[in-house]
Amino acid sequence: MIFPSMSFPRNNARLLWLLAVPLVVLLRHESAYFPLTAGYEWHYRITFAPQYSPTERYKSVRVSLDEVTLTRPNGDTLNATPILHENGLVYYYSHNHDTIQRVALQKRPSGMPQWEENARIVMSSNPDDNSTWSIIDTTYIIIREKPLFNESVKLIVPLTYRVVSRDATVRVAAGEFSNCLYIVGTGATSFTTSRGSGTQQVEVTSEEWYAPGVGMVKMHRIEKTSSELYGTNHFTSELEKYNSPL
Amino acid sequence: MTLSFFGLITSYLIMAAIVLFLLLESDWSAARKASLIALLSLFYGIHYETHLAVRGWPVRDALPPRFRLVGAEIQEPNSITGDDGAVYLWVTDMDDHASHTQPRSYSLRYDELLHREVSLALQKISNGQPQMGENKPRIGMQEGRITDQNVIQATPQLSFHDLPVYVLPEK
Repeated sequence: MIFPSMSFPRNNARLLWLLAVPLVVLLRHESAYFPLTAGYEWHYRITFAPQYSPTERYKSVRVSLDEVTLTRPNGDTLNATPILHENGLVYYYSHNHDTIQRVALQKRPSGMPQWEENARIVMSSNPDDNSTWSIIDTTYIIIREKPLFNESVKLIVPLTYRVVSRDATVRVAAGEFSNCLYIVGTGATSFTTSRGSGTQQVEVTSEEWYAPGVGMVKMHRIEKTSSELYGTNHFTSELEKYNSPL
Repeated sequence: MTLSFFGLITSYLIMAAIVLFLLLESDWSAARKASLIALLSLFYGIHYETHLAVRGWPVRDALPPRFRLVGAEIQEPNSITGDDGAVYLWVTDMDDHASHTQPRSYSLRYDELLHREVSLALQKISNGQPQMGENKPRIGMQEGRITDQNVIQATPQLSFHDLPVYVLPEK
């Protein structure tokens, strides 16, 4: 026999099956908070609530597509899952043993993916109570950037995320979700206003809830400035409906 | 398109050939053969109408539950011609690749309220604000009014929402 180790007594084979089942569950759980399987569909209710201008409400849809192989300029390849947004943006995500990362962005469905300068960590692959990670983010609410409209003004802000809870319960339009991963990212930066009011501080807080097997259920982001001109601005994204391929 | 029409004509010819064979080779009565010819004519009529319904003419099917409004044409009732009017929507299904699919044309019964709200949605689109329609009853909302700046309530079943024009905070 070429592989003698493959010949198990019946009891051992049964034991292997018993071990394999939790292993499969564990592997599935690896990215359960941020599923990267094709066929997911998420519908979100978006609320922009700037302090000094009227609240704006939107709806947004994302779908996960079949995994693709991306090729780096140096010839290296990477398997990634594209997530298509209703506005045509496509984000590519990949995961390894340690982290789930956003690796590329495609601004139009007909365009080519552009690699992130540094892969952006979405979360730890197996987040525990002590997990922390850092990303380089930008502000979104103070100065908003329109798709296909490349404004040069963008505040870079480093955010440090920590796991607050792994059994949070959150209620949104799509229903109540328990056993959620609740993470909070915080960071600060400053900018000089063009209105002659000097340097202003900006504090960014991003609270996020992820339900196992579902994905992001809710995000509440606050961009707080020390400026009376820009004020404190809120962004909320709340799951309204979802479809999973399972 | 030309190929589709060629296929359609060929299928008609095949049917006609089968019927002709039955007429010539069978010993059916004249009445039975006449019925067969009438049935074939009826089949052609039904087939043609059905074909048109799926070939780009607006369908009267239910709209998708969520759709992106690509365009619309509103035809008011005409008392001179007796036309009841209609609202034609060109939409893509939000549940299919986040609406990045082929648009389909739908025909809705004309309604003044629907006319007004579809006009508003078209106005928003022309101002660069994409619109998503929802085809479901919205409980607790008053019929036929703009419920807030970003939601247009067209009918008890149909409402229009703004889609984001900004890049959203993303993971």
